[in-house]
Amino acid sequence: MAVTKTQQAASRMLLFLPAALWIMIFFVLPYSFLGYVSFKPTSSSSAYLPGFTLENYVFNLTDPFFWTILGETLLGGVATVVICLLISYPLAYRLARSRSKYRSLLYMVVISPLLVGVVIRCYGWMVLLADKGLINDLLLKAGIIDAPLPLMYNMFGVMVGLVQVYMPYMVISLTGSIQAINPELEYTARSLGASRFTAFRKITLPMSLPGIMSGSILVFVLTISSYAIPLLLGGNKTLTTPLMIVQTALDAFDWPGGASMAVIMFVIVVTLLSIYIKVLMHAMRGLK
Amino acid sequence: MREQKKNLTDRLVDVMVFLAYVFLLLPTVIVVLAAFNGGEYLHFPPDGFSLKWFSKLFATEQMMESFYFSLKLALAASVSSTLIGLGAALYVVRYSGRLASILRPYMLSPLMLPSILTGLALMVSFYSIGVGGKTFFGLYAGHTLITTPYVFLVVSSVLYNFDYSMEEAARNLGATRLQTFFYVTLPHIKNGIIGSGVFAFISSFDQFPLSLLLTGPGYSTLPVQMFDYLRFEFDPVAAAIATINIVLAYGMMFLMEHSVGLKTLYGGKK
Amino acid sequence: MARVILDSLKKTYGSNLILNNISTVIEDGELVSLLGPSGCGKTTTLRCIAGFEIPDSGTITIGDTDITTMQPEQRDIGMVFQNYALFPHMTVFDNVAFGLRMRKVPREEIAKRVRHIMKVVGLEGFEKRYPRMLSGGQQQRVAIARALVIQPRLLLLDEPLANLDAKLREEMRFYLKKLQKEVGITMIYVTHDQSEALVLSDRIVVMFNGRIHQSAAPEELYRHPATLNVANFIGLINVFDASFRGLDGDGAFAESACGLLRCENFMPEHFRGMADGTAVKVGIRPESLTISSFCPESLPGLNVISGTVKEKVYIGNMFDYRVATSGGELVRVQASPSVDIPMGSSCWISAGAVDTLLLPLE
Repeated sequence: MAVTKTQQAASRMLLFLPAALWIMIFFVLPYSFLGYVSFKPTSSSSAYLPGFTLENYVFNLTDPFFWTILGETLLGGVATVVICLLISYPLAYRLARSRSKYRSLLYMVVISPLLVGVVIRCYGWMVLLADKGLINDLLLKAGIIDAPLPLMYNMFGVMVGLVQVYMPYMVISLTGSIQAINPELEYTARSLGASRFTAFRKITLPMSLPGIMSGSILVFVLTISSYAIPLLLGGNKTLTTPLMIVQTALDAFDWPGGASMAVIMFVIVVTLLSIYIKVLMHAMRGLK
Repeated sequence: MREQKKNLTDRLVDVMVFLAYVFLLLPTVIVVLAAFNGGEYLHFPPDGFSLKWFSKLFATEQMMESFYFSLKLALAASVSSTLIGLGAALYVVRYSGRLASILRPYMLSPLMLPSILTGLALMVSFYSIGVGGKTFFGLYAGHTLITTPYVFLVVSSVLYNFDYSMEEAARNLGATRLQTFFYVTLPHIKNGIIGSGVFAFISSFDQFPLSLLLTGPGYSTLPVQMFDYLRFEFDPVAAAIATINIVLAYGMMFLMEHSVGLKTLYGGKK
Repeated sequence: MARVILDSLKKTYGSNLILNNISTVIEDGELVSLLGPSGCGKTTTLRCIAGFEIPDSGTITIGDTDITTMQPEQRDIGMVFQNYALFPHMTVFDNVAFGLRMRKVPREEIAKRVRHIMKVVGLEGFEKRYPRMLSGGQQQRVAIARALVIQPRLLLLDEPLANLDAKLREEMRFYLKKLQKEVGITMIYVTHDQSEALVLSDRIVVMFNGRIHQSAAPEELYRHPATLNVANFIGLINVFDASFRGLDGDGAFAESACGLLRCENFMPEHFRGMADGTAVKVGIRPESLTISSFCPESLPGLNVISGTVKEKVYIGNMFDYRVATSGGELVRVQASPSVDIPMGSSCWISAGAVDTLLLPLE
């Protein structure tokens, strides 16, 4: 009996083994190696030198330029989250409360941008926002402006892209939490004399806070770690921490430098995600 | 049926919601329009319908090559991640017991961390052990890695919703464990498996930052190829291949919605 | 043939003792209910018999076979689940045929047996439908057909009526009983609904906290409950705190706040050698009490208590009184409407010693 139980446990482990190994070999070990490299002295002739140093961290953390870029990246993240939230909330609210037969179609519309790669969506924005793009073309022809507006290769273009690309995550998160609120609560508030807006403000909005929190943290993390969007829509004019990491590690061939920045970024992301998971757990406990 | 009269706020919200939908779909629609537009730039009024960018695309060898390369890569990665993810989901949901609270985050971690950092970590590691960062295997390993969590997530949520008494009923009626899995369990989680496999395929096909760092000469994925193309040229050949890509992704989703139901993908019950 | 013997089953989850020494014998052709509140271990007992749980110790035998650790698919036991557990991706026919296919029964034979069982459960013509197209009651009968068609040695039912509405539940009780007699199969039935158990069972096994408190025929259980829990769980009962005053011939005495009560309804083995003054409970069912506006003649076998009518409700075939006794308890009395005592007036309630239960504390 005891032997067969151990055998059974072992054969069940086989189900998990491939995934466990794959993630270990191609995820845990590479990240560990990246961490290891971040403590190695920099070299101009090879990837890194033997030994151990804190120099890379000291250098980055005392480098005003690194802090400026990190600050701008985080600020850009906050701005994206706020804009995303403002655009997504009405949509999510309507979607969550919709009883239309087109509801699942609308849901498809919301998540379908996720099916289109980030490069393609950025390309779409380029066609719209370029100096010779559709928007400038329309505005020029209408005589509203005399010279093309600088709509991309700047922070504006990057923000437009970020908001559009990560908005579905916000909508999904908000819709989920609004749906979980019994609509009768709002009706009750209104029957007690609250206006529609007051009922929303006092009941639905506070109750959807878990969705707002989790959606915001998710979009924030995705935004600050975004690489393709600032690269494509920002041109060479905007620099974010992910771009800086790749530039340092590859273009300047400074592995330890880039690796140490990556570790700093990693710490920020993991911290935010653990808050995200805490928020989610808390929200889920509230629902049960 | 008569509805309650809409006030100004309602109408304002209606407009905002409508604009939000437009905003979501705009770049995709514009890319498709640009692909069929006669001119080099999308103007208003447009330059008329044309298929010339498609014919130019078919003559652009690098684009077509990377298109087929991406198909191959996405197929290999999604098949692998489906098998790996399915096994892991079965184990974690069924047998891991209290360990699940550790194993779940472990399985999801590749999805959580920025793929650009994962790409960097992989590239640096591959170089250091002398494999070289830019091989098909490197891309395949990376793509499988970041698509496995999707499969795991979807299949495990389907398994959590699965009514175990159905398996017990089958056992009670004389089916062995294996028979129960194939006759009862598998038909139930099949949709989740197919759905997550398709989703894994699409996200591998669209993956950019990871591929950018692991792509080498002769091993260029489509998004990377498009990215390179857009740096030097700005003509709608990119729009033409993007349109094919979009049609492919939407087509797969459409087929899936009809055969499987998309809800399985965002964890809803059927 | 299919005599089921549960012998000293024990099962713990962590530090929770779920089954504490469960032993009982279920005779061939008997319909036995496992009755008790949720968490009492009745479902765990059933799952041990079906093979979805293995008891930590103890044995389960059917006929001559020890099945304690056998795989579920080898046990030849039918089971109907609370939510029916029909396979939604299979038609009714395929659902019912599943067990036969697993047994590699030839196709014609399967068709024949499915057709027959569908007739037995009254669902002919539903073979091609999917479970979701059937009503709750029909799904229920498919589940029963699926379990019966394999001609199991034993049929287990886990709260099979819990998901049905009240009217259908009532109907299905009689249906199940009739079916069981027709098919002649041994059945173990888990429920928390005492009236269901009373209607259906040949014998009821009442469980609390993982232990069997009593195992008896419905009438016996109602008339002579062995413990306070059983008395409370099955039917209504008025309970008085009392102290034991010794055995006397066929009866015993207990001192309550209302005076000395003679009890002749008890299990002597619980009280033999009990010290005088030990705390006990005295129970009298509302319908065993008689109410009158005058003091009845004092007879040796009659317990009389004085009180005041506090509430009175007319419920058609009787009056339902609430009487505050001289001892301070509130007692329920169900009496025929021929005697009508006004609210607030003083009264006497009496019960024969044969109807007065003496119960040990748990």
